[in-house]
Amino acid sequence: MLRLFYRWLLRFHPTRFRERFAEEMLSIFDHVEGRTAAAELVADAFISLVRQWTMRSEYWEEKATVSVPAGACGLPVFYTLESYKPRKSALIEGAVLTWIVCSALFLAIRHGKVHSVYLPSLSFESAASSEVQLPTSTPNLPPTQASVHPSTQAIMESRTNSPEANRQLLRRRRSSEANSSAEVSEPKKQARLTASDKLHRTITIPRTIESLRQPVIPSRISTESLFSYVGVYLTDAPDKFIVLITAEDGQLMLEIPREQKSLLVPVYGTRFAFSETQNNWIEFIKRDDGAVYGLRMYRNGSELTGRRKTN
Amino acid sequence: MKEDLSSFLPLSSATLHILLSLAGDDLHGYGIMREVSRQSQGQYKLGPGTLYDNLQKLIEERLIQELGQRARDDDPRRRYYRLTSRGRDVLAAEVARLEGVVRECKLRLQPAKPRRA
Repeated sequence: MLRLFYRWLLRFHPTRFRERFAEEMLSIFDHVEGRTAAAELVADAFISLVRQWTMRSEYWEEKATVSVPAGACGLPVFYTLESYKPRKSALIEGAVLTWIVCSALFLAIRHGKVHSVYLPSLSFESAASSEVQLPTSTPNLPPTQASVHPSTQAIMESRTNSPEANRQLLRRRRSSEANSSAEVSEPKKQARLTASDKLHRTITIPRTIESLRQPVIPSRISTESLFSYVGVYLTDAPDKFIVLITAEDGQLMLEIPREQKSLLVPVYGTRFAFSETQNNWIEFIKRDDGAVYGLRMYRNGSELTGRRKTN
Repeated sequence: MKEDLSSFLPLSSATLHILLSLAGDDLHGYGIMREVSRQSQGQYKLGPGTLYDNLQKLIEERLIQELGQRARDDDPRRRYYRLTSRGRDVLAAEVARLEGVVRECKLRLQPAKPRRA
């Protein structure tokens, strides 16, 4: 066993040293008697291995050799700077080692824990309060229980129920939003939740222009909600221009006569930002029954309102 | 014209013992190890790793030369080494240096003569 290990250590010596002295070193190992002496030789071989690779580079580093075969006109055809070729066994060992390392890495990636990245995203569906929802991981809970915000749940349910049920759900939604905002309101600095936090927490921030300073994170909006904003709006601007809101490819577009069409990016609630500039935004105004009847538009430093004319 | 060998000096313990062991006869690696152990009365033990590391260096410096295998040897893997004349000169220079060191030591270590009052 020790001999095998000794031989293995010798194999890892630099090629030049190994080819010249490995057989002799093995011969000495074979002549030494006693297990203690053999163990001493193994230790010596290990030290030698480290020494050869760390302190004797001048012996094992292949010097750059220049091969200059003369071409037809006496000029060199090519240069060979490296004459060293790895052994086949070394290539095979390298391939096996690479395979093992890659397998271990992929296995670790596959079975590794999922860590949530706590980037606050802005929810747009909660019209009553401006809330920042922080994603949290709740792997042990079923989807129906796991971190579904009351307002979100209400919206989900409202898609399948009758108008009567819708009104009830809307009332439930408002009351639950009021409760949740009252219960879980915290200062903004507590927004950094710990990884162990399993609750879906909401943070109420004042609905000010401050939210517009943050980069807009586009969120998904349901088709139903999208089409509720579509229509023609007459503004109270001096020239009474018309704003046309359309839905294209699942996205809301704003069109003003003699101007370029703008893509609207949902920010939160019924507020949308102009895709080209975040400081311009538009907010749809809803009645108690949820129908959109107007809009407020903040554009290039001035604010104006618009009344819905048609759908 | 004599070559300046001062660049080789002082020799390390391993180099000195290897050159010294080869000063008498051509030896193979294991023979050198045993000879070094004998010369130092077992106080200095040279492992194969250290031995062949030094042999490699000494061959490069042409202080010893490799003779190859001997047919009459019981182990065909053994190769013999011989001290070259250059190696002998280096060894002689080192011995002369050590003699100076020993002389100086003796001088310093002499018991101090009592001073007259």
